[in-house]
Parts: sequence; structure tokens; C-alpha cells
Amino acid sequence: MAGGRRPFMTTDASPWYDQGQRLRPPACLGETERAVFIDLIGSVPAAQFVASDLALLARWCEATVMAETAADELREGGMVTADGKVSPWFTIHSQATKTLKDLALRLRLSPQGRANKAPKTMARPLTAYERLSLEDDDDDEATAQPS
Amino acid sequence: MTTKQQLSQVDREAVTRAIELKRARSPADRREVDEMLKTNAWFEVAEDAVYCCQRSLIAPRLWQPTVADIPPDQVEAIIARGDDGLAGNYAAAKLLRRMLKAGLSKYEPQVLQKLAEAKARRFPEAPTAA
Repeated sequence: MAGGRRPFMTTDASPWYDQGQRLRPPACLGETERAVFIDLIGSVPAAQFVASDLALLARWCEATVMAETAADELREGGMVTADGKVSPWFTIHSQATKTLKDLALRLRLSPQGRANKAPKTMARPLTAYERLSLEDDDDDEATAQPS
Repeated sequence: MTTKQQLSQVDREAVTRAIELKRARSPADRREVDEMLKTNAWFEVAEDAVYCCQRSLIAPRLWQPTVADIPPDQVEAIIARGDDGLAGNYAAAKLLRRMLKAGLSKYEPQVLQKLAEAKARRFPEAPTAA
């Protein structure tokens, strides 16, 4: 029987006066990558990432979008081109997936990072207000006409 | 307390849908709505249904308002006062302003879904989130 402390889980509770500790998406990301970024940091404990992780996180988001774009293209166009060659999207998909695999370890996003004995902190779900604040969309800047 | 309300067509459609959505959530919710309709005014039941739907979707902190709590005619004033942080009025007002701009009611029970649909109509070519 394995020894040591039993694994346990806690909920990520931040003090009521503490806000804005989650990383904001960097300006270099496109709209889809920003959505991936917000989904990611909203699904892990707030303390998992710090500002110095931003570069790796941005690459993760880009690779995610690349892999999904390539997967869509492969689904539509097939893995082999009309002249019998492997689709260029296959290479892109493979490279993006490899990047994701490497980054997942570094960012502790893989099952390996959720090893059985590691203490777990569940992410507190973002409120819609926090999510919209992170998205920082400019499309609501015009004056509204109340109904 | 509920006073006599003049509901627009959009508001009426939203609150009616909120009641139906709450009734569809679970047998217990359906029983609750049906019981409330026997003893309370229809709009009180509708407001409660809107609150249930919006709270579960927006998931604000316990003390923060939902968008239905913000009077539409005070949206700009609240935003002009600046971000009040965790009090949540500013964030709720900004969300409500976005909803009103998209032609939605402040009683909209499916806030985020309807906003996303409105955005997709405005930007049909925009990529969707992964």
C-alpha cells in the first residue's frame, strides 16, 4: 500500500477584497487565441500562473488555434491532396500538437501535472463580469438606447 | 416589491421565456413556479425566474447585482461613476449596456448565449472561440 498523505481537494477561494489576480490576455493575441487564453486561465487555480508565464501561455493559445484550424482543414480537405501527397495541414497539425504536448508539461496542464498525490485546488469559476472584463471588448463603448 | 410594470414586447418575451426555462430546469423548479403562480403576481414569479436564470449564468459574487437589478435609465450614470470593483454595479451596467445595444431585454434569461448570437450576426465572418 502506498504511504504518505491522502490526496485532498480544496476550492480556490480568493479574499473578497482581492481581485484582478488572474492574468489578462496579452495584446499580441488574436480574438480566437484570446478566447482560448481566457478559457484556460479560467479553468485553473488563479495562483497557477504568474506574469512571467505569459509568453508560454500565449504560445499555448496560438498552438491550440493552429492545431484546431489544421484539424478543420484536414476534416474538410482530407489528409492526402489530389496529387497523392500528404496535406501540408497534416504537418502543421503535427507540429502544433507537439508544441502543445511540450507546453502542457511546462504549464502543468497535462494529466502528469495532476498527479494523484498532489494537492488539488479547484478553480473558482469566473463570473461573467470577470470574463467580460478580461475580454475587454470595445464593442460596448457606444451609447446604448434603453428598451 | 413589484409595482405595475409597462413591459415592452422584448421584455415580455424575455420574462415569459425565463419562466419556461426555470420550469424546464427540474421537477422541483417546475413545482416551485407553479405554486408561486397560484399565490403571487405573474410578474413577481417572472422576476424570480429571471433572477434564477441570470444568477446561474452570470454567477456573480453573492453581493453583486445581476443585470436585471440595474435600471436601464441609470446605465450611463453608473458607468460614468467609474469602476466600483467588486461591488459589481459597474460591471453589471457595462454588461447591460452591451445587452441593450444588442437589442436584448434586461430580463434576458440566456444572457451570454443571446449576446454571442447577436455578435455572430454583427460579425458573421469572425472566428468562434475554441
